[in-house]
Amino acid sequence: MSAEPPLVRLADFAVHHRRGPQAAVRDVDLLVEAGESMLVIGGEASGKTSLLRGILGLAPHSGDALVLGSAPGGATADGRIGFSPQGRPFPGELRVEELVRLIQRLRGIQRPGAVTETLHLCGLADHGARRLAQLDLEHARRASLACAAVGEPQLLLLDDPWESPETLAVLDAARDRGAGAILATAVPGGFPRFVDATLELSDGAPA
Amino acid sequence: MGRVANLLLADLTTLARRRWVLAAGAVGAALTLFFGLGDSGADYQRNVAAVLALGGLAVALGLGAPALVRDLESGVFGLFGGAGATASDIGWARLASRAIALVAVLVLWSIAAQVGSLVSGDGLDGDLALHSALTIEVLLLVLLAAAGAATLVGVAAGAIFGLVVFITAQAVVNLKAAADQGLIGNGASGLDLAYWLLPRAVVSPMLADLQAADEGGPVAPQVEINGNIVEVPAAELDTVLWTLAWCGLFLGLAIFGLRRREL
Repeated sequence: MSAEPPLVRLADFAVHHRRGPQAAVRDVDLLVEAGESMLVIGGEASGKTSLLRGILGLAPHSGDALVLGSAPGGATADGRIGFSPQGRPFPGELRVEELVRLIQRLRGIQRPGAVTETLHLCGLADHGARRLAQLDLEHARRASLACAAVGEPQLLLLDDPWESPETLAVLDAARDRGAGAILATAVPGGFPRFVDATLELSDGAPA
Repeated sequence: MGRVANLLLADLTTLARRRWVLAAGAVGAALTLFFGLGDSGADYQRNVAAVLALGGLAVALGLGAPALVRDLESGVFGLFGGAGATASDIGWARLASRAIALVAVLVLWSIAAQVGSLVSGDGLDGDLALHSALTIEVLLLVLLAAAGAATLVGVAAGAIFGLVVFITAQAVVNLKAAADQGLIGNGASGLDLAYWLLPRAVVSPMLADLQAADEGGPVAPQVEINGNIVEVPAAELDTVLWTLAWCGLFLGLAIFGLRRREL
């Protein structure tokens, strides 16, 4: 048992839609200690993304929840969580480097060189000047990964990550500095071998 | 630099690379420059006013209606929210950047018109400069109305709402002028109420003069009621301030509309 407080502790956690009484996610108990990673698996609409959004504080939630010592939303506001959204939700006219720098600044990270290091780590060193709309899907996923990785956050939330050397490198780096990670995917592939625990969701609840 | 400033700069960068914005800026500037070089007097003022009003209306709706909704629904705002930005941060930044872009386009068009007039030997036109500033105020109202409404009813309906605000604001001013001249009988008191409640168009002295001389063109056609010509006066300071207050109201509506949605 670690002496440090857990990075994420959820008990009877539920995430709600802003409209409508039915919870998108319910009855989730989850613990992520320092240096650990957890894989959340489940089919389409099983609640994976909603769970991450609840942890970020972007969606209404209930239950007992502590994320980096705060209620959900607190650590997000402090810039201590790195979030990689699914798909390619980017302003297409921005360049890769500009987007990662914007995310760095929104998270309040001042460290010089952080963007360059992150682009290198995520396999985007030669693509920093490309417009996001011009990226193929693989590089778009790397750009999403870079948004999470920039500035060495204490907690990574990766929605639909690709099982790639870059993703594993980001996870390794997080583990080395004692950060945690929660990955959500419908296609676990080889990820179970790289994480400490797995949670399966089905229709919004643990299977 | 704070989160709002960073988001604002990012959206301005995005807009500066968006083709339709660049094309609108260039085409409008070319037109007003052309009118400045080729026309003079009322023709020049009427044609430039038409570009500013009708072209500006299209730009205001194009910038305003999707300002908050498109990136909300595509998940871009979720990415920003996951990095710590609040809905208010995003809303203020977005609306400010769209307003700056609209002002930049309209100022570019206005400057091009003045340059054309200067080069053709007609000199600078102070009346047109004031008209441009007042047109910008009305178009900011349209932009904010469209942005706010779109958060509640979607992009297309938001744009239609912005258009309705533009038309209503002009109609209120025209009808109030008609009522003041005794050209409207029973409905005059209702029109007074509408005038004091609804947003108003800000008619510049230049446009009022053009309209009175039946030289207003499509932007300010002469209004007739039962064969009587309605003389629409230039807006006074109270109308300028009233329209600014409505801008503030629509700004509040837009921020509220975004905050009630999930990022």
